[in-house]
Amino acid sequence: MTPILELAAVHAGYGPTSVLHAIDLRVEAGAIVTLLGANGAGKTTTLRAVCNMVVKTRGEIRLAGERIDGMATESIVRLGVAHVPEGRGTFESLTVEENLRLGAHVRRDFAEGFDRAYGYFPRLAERRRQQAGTLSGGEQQMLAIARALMMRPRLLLLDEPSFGLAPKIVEDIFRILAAVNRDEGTSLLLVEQNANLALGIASQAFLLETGRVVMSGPASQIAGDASVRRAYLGL
Amino acid sequence: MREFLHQLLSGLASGAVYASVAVALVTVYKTTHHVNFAQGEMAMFSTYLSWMLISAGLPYWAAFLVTLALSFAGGLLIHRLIVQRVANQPVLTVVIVLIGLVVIFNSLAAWIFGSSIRAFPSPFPASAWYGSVFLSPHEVGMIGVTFVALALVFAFFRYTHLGLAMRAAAENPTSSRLVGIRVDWMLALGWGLAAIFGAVAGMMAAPLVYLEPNMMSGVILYGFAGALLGGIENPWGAVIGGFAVGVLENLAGAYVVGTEIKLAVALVIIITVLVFRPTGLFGRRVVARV
Amino acid sequence: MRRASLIGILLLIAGAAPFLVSGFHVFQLSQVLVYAIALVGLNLLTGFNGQISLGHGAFYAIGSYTTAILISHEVLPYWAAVPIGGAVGFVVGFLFGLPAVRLEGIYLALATFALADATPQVLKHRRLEFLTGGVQGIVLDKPDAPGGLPLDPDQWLYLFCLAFTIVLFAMAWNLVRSRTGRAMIAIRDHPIAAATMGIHTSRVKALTFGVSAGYTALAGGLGALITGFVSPDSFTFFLSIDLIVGVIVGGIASILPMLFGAAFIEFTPTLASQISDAAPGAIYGAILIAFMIFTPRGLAGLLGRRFGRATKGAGT
Repeated sequence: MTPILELAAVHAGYGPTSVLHAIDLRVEAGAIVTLLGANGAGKTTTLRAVCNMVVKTRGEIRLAGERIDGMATESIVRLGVAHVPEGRGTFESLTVEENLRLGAHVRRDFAEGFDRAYGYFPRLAERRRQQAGTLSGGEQQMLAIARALMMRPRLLLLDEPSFGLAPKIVEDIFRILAAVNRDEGTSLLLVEQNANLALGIASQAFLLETGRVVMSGPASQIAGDASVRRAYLGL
Repeated sequence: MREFLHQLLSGLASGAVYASVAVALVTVYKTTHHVNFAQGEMAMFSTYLSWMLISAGLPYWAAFLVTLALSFAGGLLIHRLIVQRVANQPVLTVVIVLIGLVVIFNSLAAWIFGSSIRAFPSPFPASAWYGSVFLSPHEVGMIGVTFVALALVFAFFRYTHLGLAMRAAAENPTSSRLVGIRVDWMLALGWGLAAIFGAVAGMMAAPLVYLEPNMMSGVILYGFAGALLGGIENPWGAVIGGFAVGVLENLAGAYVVGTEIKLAVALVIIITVLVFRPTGLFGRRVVARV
Repeated sequence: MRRASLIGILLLIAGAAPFLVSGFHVFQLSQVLVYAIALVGLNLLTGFNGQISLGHGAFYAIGSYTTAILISHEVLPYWAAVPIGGAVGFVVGFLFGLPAVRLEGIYLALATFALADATPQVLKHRRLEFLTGGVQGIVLDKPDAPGGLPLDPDQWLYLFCLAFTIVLFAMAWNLVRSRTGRAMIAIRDHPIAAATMGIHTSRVKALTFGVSAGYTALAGGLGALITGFVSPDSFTFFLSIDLIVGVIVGGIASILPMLFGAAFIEFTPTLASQISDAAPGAIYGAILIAFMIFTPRGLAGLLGRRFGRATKGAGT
């Protein structure tokens, strides 16, 4: 089966500086893959490279076998890639419902989309007419994910969904992500600093250090590795 | 007192033109963060187009609507073909491109249509029930048409999906791309809409200032001042700012200095306001995170 | 090519020029030098200090009229009237710059544009006619070369302008490399950081405005001399637009390329009308747009950092 996402020898960065060096990465269709590493390792840059939001200097990026490097961000998105960025990227002056509506910009199946989104996140239904900028951190994260789900993506990229959130909310979100993967077959590429959590739902993991992949394999294997446990799992 | 009321209301009438131009400028600014210095010349060109259609026999309102459609297309194309190419360059580079457009439109208009001053018809009769000794029917009509245009655009932005997408693209282009919005086309649409407002301003002003290639050169500055007075990102502020400038200009001209330097006086007043409220009357202070 | 050798060659050509061409062309070359000085002034403010001015034509006018009035009312000889014109421009610029520090970006652009737009009207005003000569303006006699040198007035005036150009370019070059110059650039790029480093932002910005206006006013004074007259309609807002065009075409935050910008604004309109008699403006506009598409950072951008000083961040 063709992997849903494949990065081959990708070098990328911001302007003339290279952040990623020869990154090889793949996400099998229907899998949850996590990208781990310390701050500055290049995890966010990797996600951005997939959506062509950074300068890619070398390598190939394929979505379900088709090359997408060089395409405009919005065209990549229209092929079924949803990206929940660092900082969530909600439209703060618009309402919750308007944010979700924009998530369905490509599909235009608003009614079904709303049903599904509010089904996963009932809290958002209560706040549908509220301005997004006034939501709490956890609610904004839910909104960002819900907006991404409105597009029924083949591949969902998530950049640190647990950042700054209370443990209970994070638990809820991860439960929902697992459900989405299971019930809708959406592949996930998850960047997380919280390695424990990520390795809990992922099937594969990649470890980045200063822009290179230093370790990769099944999640359980990575979780069991002694050096990883010491450096990233606090054990 | 009568005289004052007359000047006030007259100011509102010219204010309607400035408000239209101000809204056009704010529309472009909100979507692209550039001030379209060429808005006035584009409006002038649109007005000439409508004059050609009317001269060819088309009834006024038909010509009006066709002109709006053509102006929309024109604005869109100019953005896609020319302005887009320098979109990522320093702001002053874009300013020079816009200046280039000003010069091109002005020169083309003089060449194609000639520089002679022409009369332009008003769709409103010389005397009607809604006219009065304070405001001619045309002036009342001007204000009415402006408000209708504003209401339609407001409804467009508020209630349609495309309007929502344009608002999103203006607020956060990156996030907009991440939901699949083609941001470049949204910018071009912004230019198209702005061109419509410019055309409305031109066609409403022409019966009063007469049709000639330089007809909008004074108007653009007042429109700009009105947009800034209201706060450059705020369409409602632009409306109020435009009307305020119109009234200010008229009152200054009548009571203070006479018509010669009323322009300077009006601008001095506006600049004084900006010194005390640098983001305009209704603008939001942007707090910069260091 | 080393910069010193290039400057040497330029000086040689510049010195020889008035003897190689005739009458009207000498005047045109003088006008190029005059514009170049004005452009350096504007670039100090807009390119190096980040304050956009769409109204520098007003300062040019102030310098022109001050010089013309001093000469025609026989208050000062021409060679003193020009620097005084510059000084008046400095003072007015500084006074304008003080409240203007509160205005950013487009708001400042509007304020300066208003200044430029109002200038012809003020110059025509009845109450000032005794000074300004009203709509008709003031006519000046071109001075003869001193000490009986074998030069005609146009040639002498050219060399007079050249002397000022060399001195003022050198001063500007030194300014941008000095502490004050670095402060100006810091304010342009990171105003908040500059303030936290102890740079007195308002003072530097207002002073830069003054210096910039002074340069342009002095240029205006020279301009009055070489043209032989001043009138309100010579100083419409088109002049201000021309100046900003010259700065961008030459290159933001550069000094030597201002000569190119000056040549552009002096000769391109004529070139345009030669290409099309009927719609010269359309050609000129098209040339402008083409320049911006292909050389968005002007000549200095093309040449890289060799002649453009600290262009990073400028004009953005």
